[in-house]
Amino acid sequence: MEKAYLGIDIGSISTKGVVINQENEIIADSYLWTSGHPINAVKNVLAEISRKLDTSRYKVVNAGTTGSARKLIGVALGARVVKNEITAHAVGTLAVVPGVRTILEIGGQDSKIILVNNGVVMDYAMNTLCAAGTGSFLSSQAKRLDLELDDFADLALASANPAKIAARCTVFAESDLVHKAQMGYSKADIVAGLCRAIVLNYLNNVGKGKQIKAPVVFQGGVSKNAAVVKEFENELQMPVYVDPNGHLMGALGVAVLCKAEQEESHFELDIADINFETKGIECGNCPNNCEVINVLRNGELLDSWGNKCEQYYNSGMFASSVPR
Amino acid sequence: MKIGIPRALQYYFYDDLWVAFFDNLGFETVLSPPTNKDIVKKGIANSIDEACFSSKIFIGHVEHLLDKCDLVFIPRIENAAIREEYCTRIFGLYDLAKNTFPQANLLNAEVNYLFRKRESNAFVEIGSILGVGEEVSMEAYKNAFELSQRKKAKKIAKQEQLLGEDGLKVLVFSHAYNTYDAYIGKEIIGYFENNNIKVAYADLIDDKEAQQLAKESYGKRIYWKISAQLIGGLLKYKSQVDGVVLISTFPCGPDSLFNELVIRVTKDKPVLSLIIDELDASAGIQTRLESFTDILEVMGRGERWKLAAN
Repeated sequence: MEKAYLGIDIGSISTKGVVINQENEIIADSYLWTSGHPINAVKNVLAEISRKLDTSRYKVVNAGTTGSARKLIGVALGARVVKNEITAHAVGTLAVVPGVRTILEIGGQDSKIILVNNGVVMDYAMNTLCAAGTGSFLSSQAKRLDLELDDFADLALASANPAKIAARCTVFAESDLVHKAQMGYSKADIVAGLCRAIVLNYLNNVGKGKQIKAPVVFQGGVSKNAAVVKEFENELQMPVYVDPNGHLMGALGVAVLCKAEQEESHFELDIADINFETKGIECGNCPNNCEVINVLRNGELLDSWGNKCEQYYNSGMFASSVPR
Repeated sequence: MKIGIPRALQYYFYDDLWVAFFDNLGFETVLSPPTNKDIVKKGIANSIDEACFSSKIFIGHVEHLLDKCDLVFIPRIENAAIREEYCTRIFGLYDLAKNTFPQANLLNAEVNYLFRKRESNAFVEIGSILGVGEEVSMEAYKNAFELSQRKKAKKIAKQEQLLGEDGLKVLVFSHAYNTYDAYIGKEIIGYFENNNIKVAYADLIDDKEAQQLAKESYGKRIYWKISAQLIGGLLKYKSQVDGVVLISTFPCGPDSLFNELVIRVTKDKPVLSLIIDELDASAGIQTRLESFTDILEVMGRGERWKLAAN
């Protein structure tokens, strides 16, 4: 049997899973909507992966999680690696493009830039208080203009004269958009202007003050939009590489990190019949009123978190809320 | 007579001095508890939207104290010396509190070196409001001042010792009232300590030394006293740490300028910038802390991941 490693990336919108072999090659993968239920999404991802994986040849010896539900799923699955998405994306990308210096990422609700030197993350930035210029903005504008996201890029690429759209702020961009439409700009010019606005917003926001060096890799849902890729290339004056597996980089990253672990543990892909439950409880023992999350597997407590102090455990609430 | 002291904003610059002064005069002081959700809620409810999060927290502390003491001590401190100005939010605190809680009994005196209102004068004034003679107040102030200086010198010496030790270290560049606040900085600092990363503080530096360093480096005096202090601390300790952590509350005028400056002058070290506002977004902070720690550890400890990826 050959050893294989599982990585799962549970994001706000989609859940991704990959299994890699010793050579960091993806031998099974799955990409599904999270639909607000991360545990179910992971069950479905694992079911698809176990269908695709040649279990007579490979054995999963370690699993890892990343993404916003990494802790919950990490506990539920008994993952050996629970890693934040920045490190996971960097490691995953390095496995595919070893010489990468800059990783641009625009996802559904966040955007980030990661700077790499000699295979080590040197610096990164994420959007702070504002989510302007992320994927959700593009998709809501596509809806406004009555366009499918898939047609968006083709239409934008057809424009020879992109409209100038304010790039600072989503609210201003939207009113600008309406204004340009009323002035008589064609849909193609407006859509092209939007793609350009996303790029300028990104570079002025998370990319501010960062030295972007080639090779540049562009990831996240928005990287599937060829018009945005072209605008990045125009603006940066360098080629921007988009990997067909770009959406899997976070999952690939944790899988690679699993491979680097010294210890191995038996990992069961078939979890369809296991009942995972989470119980949120407001502690209420002090004015902080922490929201404590308890994770149960078939009624048995796996872990709990969210409390700022020990009062929750000491108060008796803990024992009464969780069947032992 | 119980004197209440809000555990927020200027308290963190003058904690030892204030408590010792009232102790020396024999007055009981009531310190509001470390910031909790209830205090935050009260502060937000009683503040205008545009105020910075730290000053909203201050107002919450004032409300908490109203029924627990006879007087709430809120001096109006405009500067610490000529051309060492505090932020307008800080020197407006007395007036802000007075207008927010018109019925409250506040204990106030003004410090403004431009009008020769020194710190010592202010404490004599406080004494006379409390019915204490000038000489007794002056003596109490001098003793309290010396005690606070000694305590600060001790903290600085301890920090310098820590910076000489092995292991990963970060420098926290953040106003004292954010760094040491239970709701803002405490969990961030706790995260580093739990991960065996030693934490040094840019504000732990002798005032004069900080002013001198900041002035030498930037050619002229920095207008804001607290920013000058932090810049001095950054210049002094930067070479001894592995990374710099900026913690700001939203919105902060001085920080919007100086955090940018720090990022630009700290090219050789990773910098993490965290902005805290009243929307509780601890998941985002957690991700940023984890990835920053990864960077520090990878840079500090070798290239395990690099090998794994290739």
